[in-house]
Amino acid sequence: MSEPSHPLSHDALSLDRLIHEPARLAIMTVLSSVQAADFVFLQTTTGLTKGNLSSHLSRLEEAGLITIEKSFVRRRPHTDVALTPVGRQRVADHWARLDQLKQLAEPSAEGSGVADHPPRVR
Amino acid sequence: MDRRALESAGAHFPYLQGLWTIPMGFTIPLAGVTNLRGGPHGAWLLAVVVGLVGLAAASGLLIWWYYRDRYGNVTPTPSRQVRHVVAVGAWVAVLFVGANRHLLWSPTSSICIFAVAFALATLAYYVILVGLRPHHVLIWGTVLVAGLLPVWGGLGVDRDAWAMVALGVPLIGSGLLDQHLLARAVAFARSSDGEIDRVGT
Repeated sequence: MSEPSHPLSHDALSLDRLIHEPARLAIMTVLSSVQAADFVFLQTTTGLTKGNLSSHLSRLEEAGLITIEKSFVRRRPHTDVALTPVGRQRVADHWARLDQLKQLAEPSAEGSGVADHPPRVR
Repeated sequence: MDRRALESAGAHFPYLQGLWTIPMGFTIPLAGVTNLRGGPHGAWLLAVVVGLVGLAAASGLLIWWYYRDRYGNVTPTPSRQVRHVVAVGAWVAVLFVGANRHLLWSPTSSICIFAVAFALATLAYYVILVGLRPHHVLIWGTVLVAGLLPVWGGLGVDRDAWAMVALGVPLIGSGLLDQHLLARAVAFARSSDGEIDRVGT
């Protein structure tokens, strides 16, 4: 049996699993509003523990979405984090998709049938 | 997750660090005191200068440590950096016009152009950089109206100096409320993370 047609394909609504994880989305959203932020600022705004934040940053760096620059400032370790151009684009696209889904969810409540087709997470 | 809360916490962070107005709140009155015709002289003047500069330096150092350890640091986007330069430029330009003795100033005027210019310059600074908040309008609007009241004539040529002495109070008050706003913005960003964490898991 074929699936009912829908104005938007599943590809258009699919979500980026790497970015969609809440902590990583928070990190990338904060970073999208600045050129660079240090580790302390990211920890303050996201409320993540040091270990948690470190592991999320490592994953994002491995994916090429952020750059991490470690240095010493007055003998204290200092970590600066910035989005790469790809990361900036990916987080903007992700929020655009979430906004799209939010708009679609509104008529779905009135029985348009969109709720039958949950977004695919890549 | 509140996208705007997270973005706003990052974008406005460098410009809502209101505690920096504390050292400024010591130095602007100092400029006023040193400009007073009948102000302190000799050893008294030296004591006032050393005392207020010392207070400004000590508070500046503590504030620098506080922000570094409590909040961390960000580098604003290039467009925000440009806006900051424009905001500071506007502040200096408006203040230059208001404080310049060859432009609007008159020794017999009964209003205080300097206080009016300071209020307008500060309002322009906030409009360009972070947008006006209610406490900006309230505090700097009050300073603006106070400067326009025809009660300054009795202070003669010293009225700008006295205005500088008095401006320390609204400056520090406005800064403390900016700091409160910053703390709230960061707390809100954190709490919005928590919401999505619960939803997402």
